[in-house]
Amino acid sequence: MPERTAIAIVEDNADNRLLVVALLEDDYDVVEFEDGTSALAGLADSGARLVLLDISLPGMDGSAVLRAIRADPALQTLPVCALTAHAMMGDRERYLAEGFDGYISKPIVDEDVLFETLKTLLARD
Amino acid sequence: MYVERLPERVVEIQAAVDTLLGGDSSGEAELRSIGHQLKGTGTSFGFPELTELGGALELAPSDQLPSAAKDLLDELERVIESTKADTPSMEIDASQEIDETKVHEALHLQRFFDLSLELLCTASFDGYFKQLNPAWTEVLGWSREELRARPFIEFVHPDDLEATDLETSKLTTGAHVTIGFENRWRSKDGSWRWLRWTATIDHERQVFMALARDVTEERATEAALRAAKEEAESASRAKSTFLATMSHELRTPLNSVIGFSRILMRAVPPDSKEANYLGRIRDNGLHLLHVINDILDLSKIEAGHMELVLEPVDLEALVADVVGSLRGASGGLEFRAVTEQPVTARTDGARLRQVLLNLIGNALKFTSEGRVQVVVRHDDAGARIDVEDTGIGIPEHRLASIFEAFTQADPSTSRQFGGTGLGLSLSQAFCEHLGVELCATSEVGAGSVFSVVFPANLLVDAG
Repeated sequence: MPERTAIAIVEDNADNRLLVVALLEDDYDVVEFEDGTSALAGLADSGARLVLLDISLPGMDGSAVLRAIRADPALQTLPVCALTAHAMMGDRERYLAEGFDGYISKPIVDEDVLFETLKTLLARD
Repeated sequence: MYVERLPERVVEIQAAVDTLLGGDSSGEAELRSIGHQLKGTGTSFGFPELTELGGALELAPSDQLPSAAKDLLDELERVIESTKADTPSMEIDASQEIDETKVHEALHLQRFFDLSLELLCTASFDGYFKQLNPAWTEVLGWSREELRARPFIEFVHPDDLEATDLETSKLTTGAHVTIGFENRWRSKDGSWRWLRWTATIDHERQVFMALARDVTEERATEAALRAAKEEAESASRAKSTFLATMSHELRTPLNSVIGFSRILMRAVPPDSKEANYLGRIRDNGLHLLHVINDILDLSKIEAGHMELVLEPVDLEALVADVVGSLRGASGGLEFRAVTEQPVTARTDGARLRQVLLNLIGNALKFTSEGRVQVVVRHDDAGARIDVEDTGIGIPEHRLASIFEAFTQADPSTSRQFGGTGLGLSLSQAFCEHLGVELCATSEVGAGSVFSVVFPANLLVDAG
């Protein structure tokens, strides 16, 4: 059996983390982080090949975490997908312009969109 | 000097009193006007009684005008008597041989100087006023003598001293003209008045020649406008932030409601009661999400925060795309896009797509049999997209109100057909923003046509 791909979720809301785990656990190993600081400390050793990153995080927000990932030689090529309830008109465009590799809005109304996005981003590297 | 013309005033007052007593009411206005002018003359030249009696004449009740005029005449005679032997004219050198035309010219200029509503003055380079017109006293309250008794800089606000010194020293170099310089002047009642200056110098006579205008009220109005604008902008920012926060906070719990119900549905038999219940949780969650989205979009538009990206949009391609994406919802209906004439319009494709999704979605929802077709065509005004259906139709008396929020033609239809009741008002708001017209015609039982009408100025010549 081939080794499973690990995906990191950075999310402060426990319900939302649980939902992502429930959705992904059949196909992926899910590594959980509750905030940006612990994610930046643990991502390199986690083996995660993709990050699902919330925006409204305590302390460092998602945009700041993304900049830190891009500035870190060990992490900078990691695909980062925004997973956020910031979903008003123009938000998708804004986060993609900030450098996120993908954007999924919360609530997740169709998990197939999530799976497709993950596959596309994982196939990229 | 002005007082030399006081005898003329005597004659004018007498004439006006005669006019008035002769039954012609124009004499009244004339008397009040003379009273007003003499009040100013009295203030400027230090005749307090003249000021008082001039003011009394200006404001006297109609029946007391003749007696007020009489009092003023008596005072005038006294002033004329007292000044006869007094100072020679400031403008006219008494020792010169007097040319009558020149005297008239000088008097004319003097009258202009005295009556000007602007503050006119000359001042010597040593920093003292020389000539001042009555407007100074009107604005600042100081008499001419009080203003001339001290260096003029002493009347200037401490915070404006440096700028004022700089401005006057630039003027004295001769290469500079003051236009629009503003500083504050202390008035006799202790308040500060803003004066806006136009000034130059007379090199030969070593004097400043300046004109100032009292802009205190103007500046107060500007400041109030600026404050109101800032307040509005700050309220608008606050509303924007509030909307973004609301959006985020309302969406977050729905993530669990929708997400977990979907996961559970996969774990129960598809036809079970439990699957039914879970489906209802999910569908109501989705419905709530749509309501939230629509309300927030509407609020954002109303707050003026919707940004448009205007570019040429091929309406045929857009309509085909939207029709394609709704194909799955068309059931057994004949559902098609028709292009009578190709049209390219300058608009925001994403917003127009939202409008079309809503209109076509409605047409499909309210049509159980027959046809829904979307037609792109030219018309007299420019071009239009018609969404035509053979659905239930809308009674004429409801047609006007369907664009209002939370209104469906029949309240019971929302139970039958669903929908947030916000789609059309949102579409209407989008269309207004895009400069296109959204209108509807309908016949109950026969169907409806919803049209997006583009005025000619938004059309792009396909050339």
